[in-house]
Amino acid sequence: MTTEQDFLARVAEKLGRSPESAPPPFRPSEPLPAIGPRGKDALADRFQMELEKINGVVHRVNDASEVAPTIVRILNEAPAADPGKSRAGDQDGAGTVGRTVVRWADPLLDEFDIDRALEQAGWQPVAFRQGDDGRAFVARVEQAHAGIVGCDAAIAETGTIVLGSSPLGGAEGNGRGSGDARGNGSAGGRGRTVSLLPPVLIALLRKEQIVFDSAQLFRRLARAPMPSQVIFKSGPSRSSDIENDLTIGVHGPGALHVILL
Amino acid sequence: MSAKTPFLERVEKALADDHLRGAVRYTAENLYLKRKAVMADLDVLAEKGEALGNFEELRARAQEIKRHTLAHLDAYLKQAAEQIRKNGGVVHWAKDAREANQIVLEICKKRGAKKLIKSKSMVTEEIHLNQALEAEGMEIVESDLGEYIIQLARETPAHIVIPAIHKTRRQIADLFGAVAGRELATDTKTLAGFARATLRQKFMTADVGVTGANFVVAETGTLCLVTNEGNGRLTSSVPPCQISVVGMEKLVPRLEDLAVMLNLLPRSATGQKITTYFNMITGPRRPGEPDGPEELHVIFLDNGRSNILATQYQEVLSCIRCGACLNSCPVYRQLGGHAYGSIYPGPIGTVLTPLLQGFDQWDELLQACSLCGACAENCPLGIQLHKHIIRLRGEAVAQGREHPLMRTALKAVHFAWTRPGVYKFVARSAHLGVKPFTRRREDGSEYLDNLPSIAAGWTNSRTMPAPARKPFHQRWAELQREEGAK
Amino acid sequence: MKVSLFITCLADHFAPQVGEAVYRLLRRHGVEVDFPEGQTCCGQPSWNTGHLDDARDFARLYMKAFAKSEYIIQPSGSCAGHVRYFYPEMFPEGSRERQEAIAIGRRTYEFTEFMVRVLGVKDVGARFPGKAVFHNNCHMQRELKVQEEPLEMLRCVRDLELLELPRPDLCCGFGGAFSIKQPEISTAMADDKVDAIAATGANLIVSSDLGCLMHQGGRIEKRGLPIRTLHIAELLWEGVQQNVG
Ligand code: SF4
Repeated sequence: MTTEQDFLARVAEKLGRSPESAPPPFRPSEPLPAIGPRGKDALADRFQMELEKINGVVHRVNDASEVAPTIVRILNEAPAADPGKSRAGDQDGAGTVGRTVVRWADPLLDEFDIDRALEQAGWQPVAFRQGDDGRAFVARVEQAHAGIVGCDAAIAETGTIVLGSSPLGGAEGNGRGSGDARGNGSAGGRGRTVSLLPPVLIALLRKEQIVFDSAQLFRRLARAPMPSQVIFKSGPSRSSDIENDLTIGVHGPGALHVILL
Repeated sequence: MSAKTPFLERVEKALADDHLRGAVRYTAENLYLKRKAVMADLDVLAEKGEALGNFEELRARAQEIKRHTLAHLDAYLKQAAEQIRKNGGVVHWAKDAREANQIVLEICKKRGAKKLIKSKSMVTEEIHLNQALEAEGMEIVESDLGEYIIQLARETPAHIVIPAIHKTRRQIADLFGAVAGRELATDTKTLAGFARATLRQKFMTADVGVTGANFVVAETGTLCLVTNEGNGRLTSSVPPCQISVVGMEKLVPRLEDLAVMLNLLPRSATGQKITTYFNMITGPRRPGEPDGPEELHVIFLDNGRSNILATQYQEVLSCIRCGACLNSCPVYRQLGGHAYGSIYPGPIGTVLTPLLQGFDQWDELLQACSLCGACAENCPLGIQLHKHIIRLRGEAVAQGREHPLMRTALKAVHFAWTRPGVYKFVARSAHLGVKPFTRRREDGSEYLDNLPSIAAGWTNSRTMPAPARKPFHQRWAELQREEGAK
Repeated sequence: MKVSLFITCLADHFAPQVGEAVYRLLRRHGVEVDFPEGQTCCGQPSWNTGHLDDARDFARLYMKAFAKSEYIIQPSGSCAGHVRYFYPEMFPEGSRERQEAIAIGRRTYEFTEFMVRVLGVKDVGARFPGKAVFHNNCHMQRELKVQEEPLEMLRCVRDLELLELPRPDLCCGFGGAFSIKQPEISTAMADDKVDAIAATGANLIVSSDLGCLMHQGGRIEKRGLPIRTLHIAELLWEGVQQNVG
């Protein structure tokens, strides 16, 4: 097998020099410009407009107390797009997706008393607790009707929510995320699959978490250690692989609801 | 003339397949128009100060990023590798396809893994990973809807972004029906729903997830996957082990550079402002996290790429595989991807394939281009694909790879036409030389038909104007006399 | 103002009337025209097929023939594009010949480009009844970036209905030697183009490239379609005569 040394030596040789020990800093001839509106409300409006264009649903709430009832309303009103058919565990038409709802156990969601509201409405909340078995958790997530997460940030330009497998660091002080400025690397209560496997995804976003464009976000990410996974999610899962015909909800959730606080 | 080459046979087959041509034309046109519209929007947004730049500006930035990265590629690879290791990943180096496949196999063996699931990746097609694994008795399932379709059809992708571009819903329903063991309806929802349910099971039981990477950020060792369906996320979240095979040119220096790329890639590929998922993976699952792979392997692949460095073709390595050049190519539109015979079809395939794999099998591809330049115009990295095709033709000709009759004809033209006296003589007598092939129309005008030898290539399907009895340069003298008389 | 005419090998051999039309239209607008000796072909056939050294010989020939010309007018967007875009490529960076190639590229114009951009003439006073589409050739739109000029001139032609062609940017499949080396693909492309044109109801294809016109016209004749092909200079000159007459 080729070793790192040989591999890199060959590259350097082709480039006509000996291997460099470190890359020179890259400075583009012009820095990326600051763009877009700045006001919280303008950003929120733009975010909503863009997300709606790509089949996402935005629910505006004015008060923290409205969050849990809104979640319940979404769950009751918007059953998963044909959950019984599209779930692996339900191929035989048993249709028992059940009333399970998975959610992040995370400070982003803590204050809203979501579990109690869910239980009162007949839904069964599930979250990962330290010490739980990961595989078993994923299996439960797979059976859940919906996933509930908190956003770490959002990008107005494209209607994108940003979700880390652990909190993002690097906030410039205004972001009311749960992460500290260094990023804490290991918040166990989240889970990548919560936003991925269930047919419905509900994400909580605060206005002040919205930035206009991705460059701002990447700069923030660069200021702290990266979580093991960060996703930009823009609308529900989609494909155009069948005769270029758009279809929603191929592998990921078929419905995306953002509760904007 | 000599017998048909395999390439020409494939071309003939494609041109005779109305299904295929209809499907390819429809989708390529659609993607082309969507791209065009979204780029026009981008220019408007940039004008309003609501985009990082218009198409030209972003393209220039992307070029600058890639040019810098390629110039220091060894150092960026080193930096990326160090970061990946720091994040808990394992880095491997493969100089060719064989080594890359070997590495994947060994990782699987060590884990006792038998079942793999893969998200869409061109580089694993390039190294024929599926065949290598299947030969060892492993199961590897494609999870991108389009890739899944062509895997069931036992074909290769016909497009680098839309693998099943050539398949009709009827054909897809038949393929899925064979898996389901029952007849399926042909509507998109049923078909996509079936794939979702089937593949979900595969995801839940897979031992290893295999991905490529659209970008790798050197400063953080972050792998980036751009998808719409979510298969990239599933592959990198559910199976206990993730292996990413990455062409060594995929690096960008900094996270911030992704902003430029992310503005260009989805727009160029599918006409979207952004894809549904942009997934950044920095290491395996961390302690205390409930899910994500416990092992993350990154295989950096050369496979001929280093031969392109520091040559006149170097910019070809800045390709982000968006497919815009395919969608805008008038030849691809007629043929679809399979006629090219290479994993990479269309303009980028025509250039990249002989560069990676040599002329022996691939010099003919260079002829499947009218040099219209639409590819270069639409390429988000401004890669001058048609210029490279000319340069490669030059290399092929220098190696004597050319039809002998064509060579004779071109050499004769060069001899005669670089001597103005000879040129004039030939021009004045041309109409005499083609007399046997000259036909007369009802109105008395003349044309040529049934020309012999290589010129039959023209007249088999087209008439040709007859040469003038008096070429313009002779007519010029008359015009001057007329002028003098005024 | 004085200009030099580069007739192009195709027009010289197959369509001398196009050269005449260009000449007469230029004269009509008070431009002096000469026709330098020693000109033959721009060299595209060699360049495009990979005979790069041969192509350089043609470039040198052109650069010599037109060394003294202030404006060089061509009835072909393709050949003008070749000169402007590819000639500099043929000589090493920093060489004297490369400088010359760049300079001569700047002095080389496609006919409508010169009329509109330099002379400022859009309306030559033509009348030409018919339903036309304009086919812009690839080098002209992409390398010369000449798109609007011919259309502006055609819009000024009385009684000419200029129809919208979908995907006007799409190559018709001529491509020089490509049309002979890959006749099947080339013909399939021609059919797409011709079908699209026929669907507009046009009875006339106008272009500033004789290669594309020969290719499309030749296909049309084999298929027996009622569509005529015409070089833009020819149309304008015929139209001027019709208007006057
Ligand atoms: S060559 Fe350019 S247009 Fe073609 S796939 Fe690569 S980046 Fe896209």
